[in-house]
This record gives sequence, C-alpha cells and structure tokens, in this order.
Amino acid sequence: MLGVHFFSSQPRFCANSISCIKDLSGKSQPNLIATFEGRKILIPHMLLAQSSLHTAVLGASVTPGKKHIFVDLPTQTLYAYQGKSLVMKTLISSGKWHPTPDGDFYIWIKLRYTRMTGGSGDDFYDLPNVPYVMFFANADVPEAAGFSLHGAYWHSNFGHPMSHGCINMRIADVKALYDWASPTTTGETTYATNTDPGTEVTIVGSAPGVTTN
Amino acid sequence: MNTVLSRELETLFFILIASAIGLYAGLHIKLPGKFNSVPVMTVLPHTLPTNPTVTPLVTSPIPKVTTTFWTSSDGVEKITMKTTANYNLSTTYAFTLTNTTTNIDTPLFTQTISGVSSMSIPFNVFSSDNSYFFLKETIGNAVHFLVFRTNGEIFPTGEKYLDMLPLFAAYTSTYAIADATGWASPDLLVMNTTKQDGSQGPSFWFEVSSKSFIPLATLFE
Repeated sequence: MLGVHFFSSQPRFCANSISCIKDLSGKSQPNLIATFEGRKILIPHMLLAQSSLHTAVLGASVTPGKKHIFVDLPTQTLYAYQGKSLVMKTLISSGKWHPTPDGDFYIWIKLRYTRMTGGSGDDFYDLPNVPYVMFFANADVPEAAGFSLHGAYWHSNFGHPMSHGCINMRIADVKALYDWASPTTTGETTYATNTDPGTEVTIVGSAPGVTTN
Repeated sequence: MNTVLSRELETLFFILIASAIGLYAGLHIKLPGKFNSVPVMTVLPHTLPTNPTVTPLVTSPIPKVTTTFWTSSDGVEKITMKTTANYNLSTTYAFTLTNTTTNIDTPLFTQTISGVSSMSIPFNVFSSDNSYFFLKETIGNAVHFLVFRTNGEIFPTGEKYLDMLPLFAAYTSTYAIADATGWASPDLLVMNTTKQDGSQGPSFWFEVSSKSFIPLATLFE
C-alpha cells in the first residue's frame, strides 16, 4: 500500500516546517487541549462523537462519474464534482503563514483524526484530533510535504486564508467530502490503492495577500 | 237585548285592542335576561376612529416572506432569519436559534427596520466553539456587527449584544470597521478596517470576553 513502509519507520514524522504529522493511526486523542494563535482551545465533544454528526451524502442523486475536487485559491472556494455534476461548493481557508501549493494532486491517505503541530513563537500550533484529514501529493509535492484537506475546529473564518498550508474546511463540509471522496473509507486510516485510487485534487491560483514561494 | 249586544261588542272591541297592544309589545319590546332569546352584544371600540374617511379594501399582494438559515461549522447550531417585506417598505427580521441535536428552538428577537437598512447572517456566523454568533446590520452607510451569546444569556456587563461599531469608534477614530469576516478562535472576531482616506487599514481582533480590540501585524484578507 502506498506510503505504509515510508512512514512505518518514522513514528514521529515531521512533514515540513509548517506541518508535523505525528500519528497516522487515525485515532482520536481525548482530553487534550489545542493551541492556536497563542490561545488554548478546548476540543469540541462533538468531534469525538463520530456518529453524532449527520451530513448529506454527496453525489447520491447524481449520475456516477469521476470524482474531482477543485480549489480556487483567489476566491477560497472548493468545488467537488462527480462527473459533470457539482456536488459541493463551499468556502475554505488555505495557507496564510505558508502558501498552499497549486497543481494537480491525488489523495493518498485518509485519516479520521490526526495531530498537527508546527510553527514557533506566536505562530506555534498544536492541534490534536484534527478531523477528516485527506492528505494529497504529486510528483512535485511529495507525501512528506504533508498538505491535506481537513476540518478545523479552532477557527471559523472560512473564505479567508487561515492555515499553515493545508486546506481548512468547516466540520460538516469536510465530513461530507471525506465520506464521498476516494479511496472508500475502510477504517480510521485508509490508504489509496491501485484498485481504489484517491480522488484528484486540483488547486489553482494564489490566495489573496499570500505570496507563493 | 240591544244593551247586551252593545256590551258584547264593547268586550270584543277591548279584546281586539288588548290583542293588538300585546302583539305590538311582543314584536318591539325586548325583555332582559333569560327571557330574551336573542343575545344582545355590546361591542365597545378599543380605539376610536380618527380618520372619518372610508378605507378602501386592501388589494396589495401578500407580504413577501423569505427564510434563510445557516448552521455552525459542526452543524449543531442553526440560526434562521425570517424576512418579511412590509407594505410600508420596511422589513421585519425575526431570528431564531435551533440546536439541531435537541431540536429546541429559541426565538432571539424581532426587529423592523426601514427600507434603506438590512440585516444578514455572515457565512462564519458562529464562533468556532459555538459560544457566540454575530449578525450584520446595515443602516444607511453604517455597518453594525452585533455579537450575541449563543446560550441566549446577556453579557456579564449587562448587554444583550455587543455592537462593535460604537465600541470601535470609542477605541479609535483613526480607522473604521470595513468588515468582520469570522472567528480566529472561540472568542476572537476578525475585523478588517479602512483608514480615514478610504485605503486599507490593519486587521484587528475583537476579544469578546474583554470587549477589547487587538491590532494585528498581518492582514486577514
């Protein structure tokens, strides 16, 4: 399976200076407190009650077709298509303190939860139980770079850059996208395979006020 | 014989007169109480008419009512805005909070404002932990961002809501609020500003718990 052996020898894998993946088990870590923008943040109980959040099933009423996620950075908008049908359109938050890369990517792993830490000084962040994480990569931006789509419980300023490079989404939105996107979820950790490849993610443009590298 | 006949005629005459009087009384005199089979209702007007002119029948269309709602990031809280466009060009806004896990509706408030004003629900209405929510009210050129507690309680300092416009005006006259976009953390509302010349000013955080403003080194565009 893609990525298994790469990460299995690095239990404390830091993706880059802005994102640190510490755990690929997909399991939640209760009783932890998050830190973001210098604030201590209690993790909502709702996040840890997996079955209590009900969202619409994307694409259930449309013709089956190829799934494709587009992220338009200038407008901070995500579009999800199934064939020619638009199944989701919502505002996101892309990288503010580090730009989100543009290009064509594929989801290579889905994690129900993970913990992300990084930054330093005032920008230090420690975010346990980041929900519905979909890491994506391509030949230019490897898996080790650690970019992903995921839910954000620590802020609610979607439509504006707020992340350290990832694509932040509302919890209800990202759950629906996570349930819809490939690979089909099989557990707390799901890898893309040759028989169940990850959904393509296309990111275009530049976020407002953010200089790309 | 004539005398007898005359008395009988007089008796018949009196009987006829008495019958006529009784019939008249029965038709025109209403007796009070239980003897009156037709209830008599006296309706006093609550307000006296002040305009003696005849009011024509209202033929205007039914007031236009629209309902919009938005949920919190986690889908737990929902705020509904029912908008009624009135005949006099004013608009009535009625807000209701719903906890989707308990299905308990909590009416927030109803407000009628003139046609040049409006209210709306911002995209990031609820704070990240759902403790607060904010609404946008535009009155002419003045934009008010009103912060409420989601539990419906007043703030510890007694306000039902916090209006950022006068608070920020008291804080500084150098900048004006251009927009409040959402929440940087559970009690930090992100604000963008303009300078007096209309150019872009710095971003601020409004810390709800302390009702204070925090200038930021980076812009939140």
